[in-house]
Amino acid sequence: MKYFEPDLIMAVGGGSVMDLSKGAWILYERPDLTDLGMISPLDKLNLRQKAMLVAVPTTAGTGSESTGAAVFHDTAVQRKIPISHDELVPDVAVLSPQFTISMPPELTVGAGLDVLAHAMDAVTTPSANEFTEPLALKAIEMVTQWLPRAYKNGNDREARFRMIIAANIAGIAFGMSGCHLTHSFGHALGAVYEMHHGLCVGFFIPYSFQFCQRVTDNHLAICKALEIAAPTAKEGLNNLVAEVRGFLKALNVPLALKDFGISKKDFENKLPRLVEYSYGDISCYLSPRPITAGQCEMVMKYAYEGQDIDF
Amino acid sequence: MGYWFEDPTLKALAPLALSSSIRGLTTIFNTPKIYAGFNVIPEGPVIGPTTMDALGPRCPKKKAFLVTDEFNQRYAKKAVQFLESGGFTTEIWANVLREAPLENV
Repeated sequence: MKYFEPDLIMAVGGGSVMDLSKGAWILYERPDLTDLGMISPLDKLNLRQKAMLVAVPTTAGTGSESTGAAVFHDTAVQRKIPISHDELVPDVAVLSPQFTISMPPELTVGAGLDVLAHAMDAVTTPSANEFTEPLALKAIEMVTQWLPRAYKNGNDREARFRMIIAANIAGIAFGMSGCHLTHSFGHALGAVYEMHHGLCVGFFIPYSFQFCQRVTDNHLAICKALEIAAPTAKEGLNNLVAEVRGFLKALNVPLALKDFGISKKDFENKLPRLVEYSYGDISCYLSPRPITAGQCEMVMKYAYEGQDIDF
Repeated sequence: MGYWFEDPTLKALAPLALSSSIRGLTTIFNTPKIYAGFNVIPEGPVIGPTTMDALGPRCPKKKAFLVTDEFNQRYAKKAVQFLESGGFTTEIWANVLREAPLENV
């Protein structure tokens, strides 16, 4: 890139490609910055002096084509490094559904669950606002309707089109309001076990709802959008969690960590790192219910067994 | 070495900056220009607005660098055809690794 000196950078791929392009774009525009892990949202980057960024997603998941977020993997310490900056929002997003048609079913599910986690978090975070909530709710409706179709038949053009739109609007929503616990836990799981990001964050949706319900009833907006009975906040939560679990099950996603083939011994050995990474993840700080490292550990243990969160 | 998100000040500010308690001070709706549909990267001539409208006028050098991975090279090639039809010279870098390792950037 440095020698070619482009004035247009085009990322064609999934989340990794778009995120990496953002990183390369920063280094191209700002060769004085060498450590991407130290770029804070408060820094002035002054991008767009040399090139514009165009994102062409080939998965319907990350939403990176419409956000200022990028996640890198620090392989030296097996840790996810998220960065977020307003200037990193691409100039143009090109959503071409036929580029997603060849996604295999497992990747379709992983990417689709990433959309669902973005949207669910964007509704329930305290920073949800009038701009983000309608987009996130619409994305939830669309994922529940179209992801099963895209999973069953990858050539379903309408489902692919709806899913790439859902991914984009969920991206816009969480790009403004942030994600919370699904992503704290999901990032940790993905880094330690090298599992697909979307699968990890989608897996934690029910646990995140259950942990947060003591301090928020924002999930009622999701119940309303999905026409889930909610005579009381608690019943609404139970029905919503049951609905999400049914949805995950229908997509062949395990509901407990042990069902991913992770042995108890291995889990216990890696638990301190899972806790350290989830508690240290920036998304933790956007949770409606503040969480301690001890609670992170308990959530992980409950998730391993597939138990309901009752604390 | 620490990461930006380990800064205690930022940790304290993150929920405050985004919290509903200060909603009303500044809300930025920041999105790209979005083109969506089955014809956004057309293989032939197009009547009416096209994706190229957003690219050509902003890129005087008309030099496009495409970043992709092995799996998506075929789509990058379609994008190349589209860009070249708009007068761009292109180069593809297809070495992105899974989960975007820092050393790959």
